[in-house]
Amino acid sequence: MKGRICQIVLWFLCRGMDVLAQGDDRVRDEIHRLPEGYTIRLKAGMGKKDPQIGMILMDGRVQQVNLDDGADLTIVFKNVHIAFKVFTGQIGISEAYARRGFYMKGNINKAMGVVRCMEYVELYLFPKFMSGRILKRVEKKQMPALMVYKKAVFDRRVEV
Amino acid sequence: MIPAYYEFQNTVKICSGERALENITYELRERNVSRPMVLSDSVLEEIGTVKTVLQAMKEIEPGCVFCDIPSDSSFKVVMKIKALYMQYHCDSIVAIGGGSVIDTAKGVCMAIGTDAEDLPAIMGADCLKEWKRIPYIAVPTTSGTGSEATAVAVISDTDHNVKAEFISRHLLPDVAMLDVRALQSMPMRITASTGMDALCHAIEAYTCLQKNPMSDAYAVSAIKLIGNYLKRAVKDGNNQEARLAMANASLMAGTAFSNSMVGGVHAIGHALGGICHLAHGDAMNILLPYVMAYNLDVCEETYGELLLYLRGADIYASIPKKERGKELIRSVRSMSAWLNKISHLPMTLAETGKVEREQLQAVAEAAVNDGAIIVNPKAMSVEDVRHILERAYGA
Repeated sequence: MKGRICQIVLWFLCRGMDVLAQGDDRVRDEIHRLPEGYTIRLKAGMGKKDPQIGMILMDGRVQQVNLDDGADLTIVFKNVHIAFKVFTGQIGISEAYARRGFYMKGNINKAMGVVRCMEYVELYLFPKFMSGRILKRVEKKQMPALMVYKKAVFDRRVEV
Repeated sequence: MIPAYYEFQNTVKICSGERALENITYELRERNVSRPMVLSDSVLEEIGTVKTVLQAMKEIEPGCVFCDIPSDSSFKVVMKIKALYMQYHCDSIVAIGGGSVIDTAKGVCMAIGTDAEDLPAIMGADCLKEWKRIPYIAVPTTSGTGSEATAVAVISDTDHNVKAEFISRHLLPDVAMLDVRALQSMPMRITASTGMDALCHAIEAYTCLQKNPMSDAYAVSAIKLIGNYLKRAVKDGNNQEARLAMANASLMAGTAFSNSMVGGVHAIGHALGGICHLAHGDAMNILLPYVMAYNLDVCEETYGELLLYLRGADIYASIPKKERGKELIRSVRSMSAWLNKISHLPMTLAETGKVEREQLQAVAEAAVNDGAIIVNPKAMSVEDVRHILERAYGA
């Protein structure tokens, strides 16, 4: 069950980043600072069948892509339980890192931009009482959270 | 408070005190090796520290002695040394020097163990798998980065003007040798600068998000020693007790932050090092009180706790509880001011002569991309860092 929920949230994370890359100038700026074609792989556990998602940054968009290995940035949660805590808003990414809950392969300097994008997605996806608990600073939203959800689900996705 | 989950590792064997260097032979033989590559820098070779260590290594014939490591280690240097290591059929490493030499040696161990030709390709945090271990003895000559006890290596990517970070338990040396003969050549200013670096490590380790009871124990022990011995070591470089105490403090502070990370001071300091080539210890000394002031509203209680260790029980008891956090910041500033007076250690970025005001924006943008910022207890945006830098600029 935790695995299925993580897979759903990973999907929302990818779609949320794409929506915000167009609708929130802070996320747009972060995406533009990363190289064209930059690939990101997120995995919720060490098992072969554990939930994962691949993303590629192209033309200012965040697109889902199949990535088995060799991404520019790979973040792997050490087990599905810690991933579940992050993806259900129980703890933030900073806290997960503090608990050594994931390992990261890739340039740490570039990874920080991705982490900030993920935090912006959490800002929109979670209600304020949750984001206040997991984020060090709750920034102002630039669009309604419901619109982010709607666009994530219904807007046309760019397939790679 | 016990964290919900934490990890702690310190597998470095510590040999501290009289004739520690003479035990290098034992430590190498006990690990079944006999042909070390000795790494150091040209300054330590010139002043005789390398010779002192080599003489202490009785009946050990180094495979190669390389003393050309620059003050800012780089990927290019690491790969050059790797080639020499292979060429001369070495089987271990003895690194004599400060953070740059020790981190370079870590990079060499990593490059050889993983057989990586492209080190940037294996950058990351906790992502490296175990490799065939190369016995590695670190002989620190500064007190200091504590790199002899950390699972972190910072190596310059000179092509992109950034400092690349590698975090892995496999980077920990096997042995750290603390011997005053390797330490007492440190000039006054470097003693001051590296001492403040150690203090910064300890304070950040105690206050960052990854803090845990084990790292706290090392951090407070380090702060206590620094509070008692830094000034003595700066005033009199021949004071062997003070030198050894500071070496122990530096190692303990390194152990602390290796297991609880550092925060905003280091994130900004790394950026200043990468862009302005400002010496790390100088940056730590300048930035520490300003970042502490920035973090004060979330760290007031923990700063207050640390006052006991830095200033002693009498001072601690005389300050009201709600003032202790601010008093710690005042104590740090006061220590900086004393070091400035006696050793000309700069207290502002302008004083260093290496930082232009026009560079501050680039430094701020680089700082927020440093991994250390993720565990700073308070959020730090580019604007926040810029504000800190402006205050620290001081001109």
